Order: sequence, then structure tokens, then C-alpha cells
Amino acid sequence: MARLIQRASVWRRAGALLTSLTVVAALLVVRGASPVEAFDPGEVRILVQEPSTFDPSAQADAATAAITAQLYETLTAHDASLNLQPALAESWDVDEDGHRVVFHLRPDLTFSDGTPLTAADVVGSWLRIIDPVTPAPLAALMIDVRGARDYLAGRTTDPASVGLRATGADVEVQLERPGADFPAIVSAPIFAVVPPAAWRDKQDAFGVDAVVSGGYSVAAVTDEEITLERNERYWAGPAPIPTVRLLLDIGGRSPVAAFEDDELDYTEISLVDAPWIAYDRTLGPQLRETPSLALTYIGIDAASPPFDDVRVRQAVGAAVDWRRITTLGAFGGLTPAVSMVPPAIRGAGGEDWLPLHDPERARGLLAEAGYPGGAGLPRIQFAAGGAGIADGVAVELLRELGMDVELVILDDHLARITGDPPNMWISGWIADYPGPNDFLGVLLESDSSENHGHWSSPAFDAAIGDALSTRDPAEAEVAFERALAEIQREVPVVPLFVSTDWSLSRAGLLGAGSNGMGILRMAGMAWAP
Amino acid sequence: MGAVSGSLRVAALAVVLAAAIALALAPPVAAADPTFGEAVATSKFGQGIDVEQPATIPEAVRRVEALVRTGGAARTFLTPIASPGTGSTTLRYHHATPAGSLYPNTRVELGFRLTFDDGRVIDSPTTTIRYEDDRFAWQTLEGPLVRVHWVLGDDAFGRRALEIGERSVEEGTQLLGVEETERIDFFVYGDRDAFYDILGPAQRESVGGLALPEIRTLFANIPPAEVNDPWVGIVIPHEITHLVFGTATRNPYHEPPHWLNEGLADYLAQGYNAGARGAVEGAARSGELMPLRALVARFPTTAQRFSLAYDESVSAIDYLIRAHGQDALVSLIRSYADGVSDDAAFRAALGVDVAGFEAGWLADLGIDEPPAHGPLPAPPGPLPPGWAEGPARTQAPGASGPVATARTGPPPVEGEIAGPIVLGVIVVLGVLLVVGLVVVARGLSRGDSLLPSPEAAPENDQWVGPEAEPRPERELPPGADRVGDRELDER
Repeated sequence: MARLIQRASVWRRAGALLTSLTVVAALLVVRGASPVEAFDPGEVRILVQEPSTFDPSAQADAATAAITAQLYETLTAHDASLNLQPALAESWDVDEDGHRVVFHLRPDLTFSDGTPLTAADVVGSWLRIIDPVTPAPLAALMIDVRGARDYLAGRTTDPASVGLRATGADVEVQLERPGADFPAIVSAPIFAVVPPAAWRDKQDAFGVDAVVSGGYSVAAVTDEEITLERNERYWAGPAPIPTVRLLLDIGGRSPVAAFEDDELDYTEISLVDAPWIAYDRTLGPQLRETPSLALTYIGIDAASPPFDDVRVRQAVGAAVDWRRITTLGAFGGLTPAVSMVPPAIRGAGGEDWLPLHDPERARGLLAEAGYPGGAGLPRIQFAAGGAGIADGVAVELLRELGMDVELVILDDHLARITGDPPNMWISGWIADYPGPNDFLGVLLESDSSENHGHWSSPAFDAAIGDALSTRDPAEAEVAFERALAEIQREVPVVPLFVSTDWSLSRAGLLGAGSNGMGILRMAGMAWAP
Repeated sequence: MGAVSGSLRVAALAVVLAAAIALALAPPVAAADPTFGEAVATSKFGQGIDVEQPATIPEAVRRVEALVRTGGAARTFLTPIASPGTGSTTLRYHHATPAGSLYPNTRVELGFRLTFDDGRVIDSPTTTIRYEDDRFAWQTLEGPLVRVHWVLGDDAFGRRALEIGERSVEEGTQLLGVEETERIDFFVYGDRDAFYDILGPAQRESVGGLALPEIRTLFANIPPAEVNDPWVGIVIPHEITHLVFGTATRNPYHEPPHWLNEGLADYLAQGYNAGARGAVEGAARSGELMPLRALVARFPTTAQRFSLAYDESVSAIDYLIRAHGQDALVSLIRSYADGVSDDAAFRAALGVDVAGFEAGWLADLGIDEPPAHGPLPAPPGPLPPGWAEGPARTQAPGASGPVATARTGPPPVEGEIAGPIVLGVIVVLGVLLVVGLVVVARGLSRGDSLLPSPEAAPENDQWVGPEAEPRPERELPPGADRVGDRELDER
């Protein structure tokens, strides 16, 4: 019901409120308290998405990785500035030719139950990733380890044939390709070290009260919340905040509203809220912006008709004005992508690798492929979810090529893309580590487990091979550019957007900086004194 | 006999072999096509839609999916259903419709899709059902373009709602130069809880109306006792303007700014009234004004800022018409239908880009560009031993590491940080205390009480606080990269 309120009354109330707040705040100061005492310093409340598993090697999505990374530690880690830092490994050495890396574990490491954490645990955890029976979804990250491809494919069953050795406190890794940047790769959450019950005894050793190697363990799980308690034996010392409450359900409310109502201390927010929050006197200073190492792109099933014909893919690439369509579709934190490698990741050059817009050539290619004017083409299924840009793509493909595109929302989107992909789909990929190959070889090499479109290009594979076979960054960059050129030529994918992560972080919460890979290091968070 | 018999056997064998060879050499025959009976669907508000369809499923079907297309959406929703096996069967699917997931008056097409091993895709004949709010016995009154449905209240209630609706369509279409020929359904709820059931959970308390151009439907919550209240004459034209705006700007590429849509709706519904003017000028004076670039997408969640966002939007429209003329406004809105960028639309219609227009608006209000209060970098936390703090470094692939094993600086000492903070807080609190006491003293000198007075007599039309009048809300079609409310609130 509407109420009309006097301006004078408003000012009066404002004054009264101001006075009350001032008196209360002054009393707090007199008592030696700080404003952040309103919060319980023993806990922090973070809104998260429900993880699909607590097993670090079984995860395949960013939301799950963000949680398993708190429970199980890796040998190296990337900090909020994307510097590679030592974690369970105190240091590491790389041989001159780059084919051998030795990680030196910190002394006296233990799991949360006090049992020693050894080099054998590292090797056992990493072999789980390439277990031929239950391979990790991201097993592609391991294939540069000598013998890993054969072991993963079941061509050999002897784990000793894989280039991983535990020697005392050292983990020795033999690599097929010396430029694989393995110390950075093993910072990815799937390389986390799990206890022997998981890697040796093959038990489901994950979940509530499970033994962990990370900063926190799972104390309780409900439909609304996952409660984490700190691991008192964590290698970096007990986390400053004893309890982390990972909230799963805020009743369908906006995260911003829940943050304003003091029900959350940290939450990612939608990019559509960031513009107004920046100008809000209270929320603005609590707004955080992180360039995301994530890419949104269109995948294409290159193994099935009609896109198994490169000319049809090339026609799609040339028919759409990708620069215009992504610019018009971009909003706020979205930036049109010009390469499969996000600009925040160095080492792949800064060129524009989008397919060139040439509708006339597109029509010619389609005719050459036997579909003049789109005649004879099957209806194309494009799994676009709710992405608005897909509407424009469909309109342009129909107008320029006569290609009938059906926009579909797949209830089982991820499972379908992985196992039985539609003709085209929109997908997102966030870096496992800040290297170009995580967006190139991992996604598109012929035998990569993440190559869902089953594109196979000897030229691309050779370029990736060359990039990973050199320890000279300039040579690697040239090779990666050859790979990007091959993508531009054969159009197995089309990059669309890179993005910015926005979050709200309660004033007084320290160390709540994301590194752009979706991982918040909760053991490094503390309340300001 | 033996010889004859042997010849027959040879001949028979030859026939069998020939048949086998012929079969082997014949081109592969496509799997048989499925057959389908008529699909039948039933729905229950808030629960779901059930569809079933008799079918004969042949061999070589690798996937069976239910297919759902909702009115106005350019998407087909597909969800796998358990394989029914081959032969005669009845395909069944339950499409759940929890609160807010599907709006009443949406036409829903349902059927099934079979995908064969060879990649062929065959859809069954579909059925279409209108998803209705079947909790109430709706009364209906129909005009030339608008059809009003209401629950509570008499015929006069319906006639007034219809009259306002028809007039609003006429005014909106005239202003924007578009033609509305397809019927608009207008559902008037008389009960807040029932109205909020269609919106779904976690709505702002002040939502009073909803326009859905894609299904040409408006919803509003108007209790019968309030049908003659002035705000009813505002909320209906506001929502109808959204619908007309949606028709005028529809394109597959780009959404116009939210402030333009809401500002126009408010302008046509009630103009730039004294309340809005007071709020905007007050915000400009106090430094609380948000630039238009802050209002391109979702509006603020806090009630006061939410209301200010509307007031600023209508202020910008008022400025646009004063500075550039009504024709320029119409030209601007219509140019969006071509799928151009904001800058291109503004340049073509007004001769300046969005930033130029915003600068003019701010100058008209007599202020400089408001400062942003964020984002700010995250304050650093404690680092583990051996971690070096600093800017990102580029390491050569495979380089030995870590580069540094020593801490680059000591951890913060409590006194070094806390001292200046406490001092600063005391100074700020002192200033606030003085300001607060002055304001209160001014109020008390006029005989005002310190306690809020709900019965206070109105002096102007300013909307204030979370209890303010229901504000119209607009939902946009789902789209991860589109401006909207519902779909982007969900996690």
C-alpha cells in the first residue's frame, strides 16, 4: 500500500537514525570494539553452487573444483596474482632438457588424521587420474607424463610404466614433452593429494569427516549448507577462520539481497548487478572485480554430418559477423573474444583469430560441400541454453546459408556434450592453470578427453607438439599461433566471450581474492583484527 | 533319385546363396519409421503439465526425449526419458512447473523426439496446451485489443481496468509509431500471495505488475478496494508500455538499456512528476545519483535505490524529450529494432553517443559525473610460509621454482593498522554525531517527535522506503548474456 511521507519527516527520521547509529558505534569504540565485531570472527559464510562430488579427481566443473580445492591440497598453487607458489612441494627442479621434474615435498607433512603424507601418496593420487577403469574427466592434463597415454588407454596395466616415481620425499616426473609447464599444471585441483584409503584401497573416502590434505574438512552436509572445519594439521598452519559455512540455498533470493541482509560474507554476483553496485556507497567498496580466465565458445561436432565436412564448418565461420554479433551481445562483464586463449593468459600471442566474415565465400563453400543454398542440409541442433547471442547466430546462418538452426536447451547438457554431442553447442571453459595449452591442446588435440567435437587435425596436433617440445617461450608462442591459425582455418570451435568475475566481499574480510580460475583460497582468509 | 535329389539340393543351395549375396550387397535399409498416436496434455497450476502419446518404437532408436516449446521462446527444451523399448508403448512425460517457472497464459507445445543410431531425428506430432492459473474462476471482459481477466470485484472493476488498458495501448502505440494487432491478455489478481505465486520465490516486496511481451500478457495485483486508487492508473499503462516497447525494439541481437525501457514506461504512465523530480534532485545534491551506465541492466535491490533508479530513468527521458524532442525519442526506440548498438542508436537519433547523452543529462541536473565507490581490490590476507606477495610474474615453461622462498615482508602488526582506523572512526563518529544532533534539533524545534509517525500528513508525493507503492517490474526472456532478472538471480 502506498504511503506518502513528508520530506520533513524523512529528514527527522534520518537524523534520529544517524544519532542512534553514532551512539551505538561510539559505544563500540569506547569498548575497544571494531565494527566487524558484528560478525562472528570464527566463521565465514560463502554462497556456493552445490558440488557434484568431494573427490578432486572426479570433478569436471568449476563449482566443484572451488570446493575440493579447500579439502585436498596440491603440490603447487596459483595465488590471487596468478604467481605459482609452493604448496605441499617446498620446491622443485626441472632438468635442463625439461623432460624431468622433481618435486621436493615439505618435511613432516601429514593428513588431517596425523598420518604422514608421503611422495607415494602423491604418485598414487596422480595415478588415479589416469585409471583406465575410472579415468578423471580431466585426465587430459596428465597425458604429457611419460607412459600416461598408454596407461590411460589400457594398453599397459603396469603403473610402473608411467613416469611417476616416489623417492623419499621427492616425486620424480618424466615428461614426454619438455615444455608442458608441469609445475603449473599440477596446481589444478585434480592433482590434489588424497589419502591411501582413496588411492590404494579404492574406497569412497570422501565426504563428511573424511581425511583431508587441505585447509578444511567437511564437518556436515545438509540441503542448505556444507560446513567446513579447519584442518589443524594443514601444512600452512591452521586456517585463521575455524569454520566455513558454504551456503547452498538462500531461498531463491538474489545473492546481493542476501549479502545486504548480512546473511553472506562472500558471494559471486551476476554481472548485471555490478554496474549499480559500483555506485552504491555501502556496497561499492565491498565489490570485487577479477578478470576471469574463462572462455565461452561454440563447439561443433566435427565427426558427424554435416560438420564432418570442413567446408560446412568453414561456411558457418564465414557466414556470421562474429565481431559484430559478440559486441552487440556482450554486456557489462562480457568481452568479445578474438582467440580461444583468453587475453589474461600470456604466451599465445595477441592476434585476432576469429573466422573472417565473408558471406559470399560461405555460400560458395556450402555449395561445394553439396548443400547449395542450404538445400539438403539437416536441421542443425544448437544447444545454446539461455545464451541470447545464439538467437543472432541462428538468424545469420538462416539468412546467409539457408541453414535451419533449432535452438535447444538440453536438460542433460554436459552429459550430452560429453557423450553424444549435438551439431553445435555453447560451452564454457575456465583455466585449470594459466597456460595457453589448457585452452588449445587440452580442448582440441585429437586424443584429448575434452575434445568433445572429435575434431582431428594433424597440423594442429603438430603445432601443439612443437609448442610443448620447446622450453623457449618465443618458440612456443609461434607454435601456439600456428595452432590458433589452424582453428581459424578449420573452425572446430568459435570463441565468443571472455568474462569478468564479480563478487561481494564483506568489509573486514581479508584474503578473499579470487585468482580468475574460480578458486578462492579459503585457508588464506581472515577477519581484520 | 539320388542324382535328382542332389541337383535339387544344389539348386536350393544356390538360391539361398544368391539370396544371401543379394542381401549382403543391397544398400543398407533405413530403420523403420516410428508411428505415433495423438498426444494428450493436461496441466495443473503450480504442479505441472502431463503429456502422453501412444507410439510404436522401431529398432535402432538410441535416444527418446520429451520436447517442450513454450510460447514466445525461441528454444526447444529437450529432456531424456527412460527408453520404452521397441514395439507399441505409450510415451509419458511430466513437465514440472514450480512457482515462477512458467507463467500462466503461456501456450506450451509438447511431444517426443526419437534419435536413431544413424543420426536421423523424428519428432512426434505435438499437442499444444495453454498453461492456466486454474485456482480461480476468472471473469473476462474483452475490448478491441485488450482482454481483461479478474478474480475479485464487480463488472465495474473489469470495465475500468479494460478502459485504462485500451487507452494505454492506444497512447503507447501512437507515441512509438508501432501497431499492435495481436490481442493482449491482462490478468488482474486481487490477492498478493496469489499474485506472488506466479512470480516465484524471492521477489521484491514492491513488485506490483509484470509485462511479458513474448506471450503478450500482463499481470497486476490490484485489490478491488483499490481499483479507483490513482496508482492503478499508473501501473497499467506502465506495464502496457513495456509490452509496446518490446514490440517496437524486438531484435535478436541487442537489448536496449533497462533505464530506457523503464523510464519510458514511467514517463507515459505518470510523467516526470514532482516526487520523482524531488528524489532525483535530492540525490544529485547529496552525491547519491547513479549514472545511467549503472542502470543499463538490473536495478538496485534496496528499495530506496530501486525507486531512485526509476526516478532517474524517467528524468533521463524527460531530459531527452526536452533537449532533443519527442521525434528523436521515437526514432531512438525504433532504431533498436535494427539490432544496433546503444551508441549507434543514440548517434543516429540524437547525434551523440550514450556517453554524450549522459553528460548532457548530468549537466542539466547541474552535477558532474557521480564517483564510483567500487570495485576495490581485495585486501590481502595472511600468506603461507614461503609464499611471496607481489604482482604476477611470467615464468618460462618448466622453469625451476619457486623463485623466492622467503616472505617478502612481515605480517601486519595489529597496532599499525588498528591505530589509524580507530582514530579515523572516532573522528568520523564525532562528525556524524554533530550532524545527527543538528538534524534532530531542527526537527524538534518544529515540534516533531523522534519516533516515526505513520500518520504524518503528506506534503509531497515522494515515494520512500520499502513500504512504498508497488513498483512495476519487468521480466525479460531467459538469456545468460541478456539483461534480466529471474534467470540471472538463480544459481
